[in-house]
Amino acid sequence: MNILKEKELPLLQFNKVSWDLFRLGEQSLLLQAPFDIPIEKIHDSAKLIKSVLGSLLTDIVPSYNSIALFHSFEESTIIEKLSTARGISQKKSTPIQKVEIPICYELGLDLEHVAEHSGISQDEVIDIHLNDTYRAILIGFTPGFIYMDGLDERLACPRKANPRKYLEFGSIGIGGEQTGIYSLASPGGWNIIGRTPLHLFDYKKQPPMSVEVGSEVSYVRITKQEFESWGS
Amino acid sequence: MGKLKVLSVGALSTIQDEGRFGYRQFGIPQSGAMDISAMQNANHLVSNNPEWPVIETAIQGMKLEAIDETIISVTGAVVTLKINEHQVPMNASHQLQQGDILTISKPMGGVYFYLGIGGQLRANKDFGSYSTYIMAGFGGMEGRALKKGDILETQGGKPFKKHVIKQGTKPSMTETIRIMKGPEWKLLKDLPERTIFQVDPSSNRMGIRLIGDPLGIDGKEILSSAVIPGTIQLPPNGIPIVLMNDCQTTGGYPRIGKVVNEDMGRLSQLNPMHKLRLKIIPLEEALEKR
Repeated sequence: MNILKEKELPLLQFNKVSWDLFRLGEQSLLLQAPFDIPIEKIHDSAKLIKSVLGSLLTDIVPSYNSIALFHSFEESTIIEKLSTARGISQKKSTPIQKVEIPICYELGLDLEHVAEHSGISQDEVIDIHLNDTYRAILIGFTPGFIYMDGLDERLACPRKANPRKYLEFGSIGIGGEQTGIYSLASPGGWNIIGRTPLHLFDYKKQPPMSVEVGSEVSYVRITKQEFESWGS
Repeated sequence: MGKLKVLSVGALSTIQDEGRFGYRQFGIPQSGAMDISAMQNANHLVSNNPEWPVIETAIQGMKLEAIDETIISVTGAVVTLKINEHQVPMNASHQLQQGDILTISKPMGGVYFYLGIGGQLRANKDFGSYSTYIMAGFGGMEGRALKKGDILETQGGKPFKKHVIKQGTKPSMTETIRIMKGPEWKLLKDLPERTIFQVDPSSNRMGIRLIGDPLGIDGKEILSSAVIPGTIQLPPNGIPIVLMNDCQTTGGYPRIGKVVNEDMGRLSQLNPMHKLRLKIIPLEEALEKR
């Protein structure tokens, strides 16, 4: 099936990865890597794109194996800038941001359900959850939602059949084998095991989010009293 | 300067401007007026800057009272406009006196109408835009739809000047909506333009669902990846969904194409069950029209 002969976009060599190049929109390009590309390489490449394109870049959306970039310039110039930027990838990558997030398990609406589903006690769920570190791999779906990997497989628990219409900001949930944080109040179908008092998404800050993709996240347990008096 | 009080309103009136840009990386949708040119016309008629916020209303009508002298205009979907008991034309500027009642009927053709108010509307500006995004409570009137009793107040603005514009042409029996190829175009087994689709009545600011014969596709889902307003997703049932202004920032269905920016407003104004054809156009043409 060939409808229109048109110039295909070239394969793009960038940051030692060979990317398929597509158009997402009139002023948006999608760089797509093989599905098994390590997520670090995506995050690393997104940072590199920011530094190469500077103010020509108006937005960027990295995901599992692709990076969408939004630009305000001639497409050919953008592609050329990226394809000639290979050299920069030699430099040392920036250190990974580490974030400690306080969590109150007493506010975990579904802690009991997760424990039952896993066939262990609630204390064991908490121990396992506290013991691991997680990595922010994607921000999206709803404003400020942080998808993370690193969840111990014993804690995996299917999403709820009936999503809740309202979850408080800072709700920390498990959806299947993934875990994530609802930075802002929103509807949601994940099992909530705890809540953080941190406003991870703050309208007034620039950038508004204190966790970025690639950040390493670890949790520190706080009591309900500490939660309630947080920041006061 | 102007001041209006909402006397009655449906559930679907929100403050919108051209949208929110640069915040997809935080999962924040674009939002903004569904029919940008109608929104800009509403501003033009009341001598505002084209990008200033206006009131967008879908499907239902509304009634307002002028608390002060206020310059207004109504554009977009075809409605009947009355100042007190007198019918006045849409697509024109009007000066309301204190106590005047403005009644706007529900649309009789098209979906979204726009109320322009002379001056700059007092509203929440979040992430660089006044556009309301209800799900997260951003922008506009406290991040929500308008309700009875709300006061719409503007500051500044120019003196009244009579402006008129022509109503756009009616959509044809089968509208042609131009698209460019998307990242998963190659997975398609059928040409989209062979199918005549209809607009599903469940369409809204997040997406326009289509009704029609399914398109064949190889493979079902992709790893979650970026989507934008205009992206045409093809779920496993083979019936395309065109994502619109309030769509999420990532999605997991193949993106077979994208409606060109210039046709987004026209698409948004198609009534439920209206027929349309998705026509692929050469990329160079799409890029010229951006």
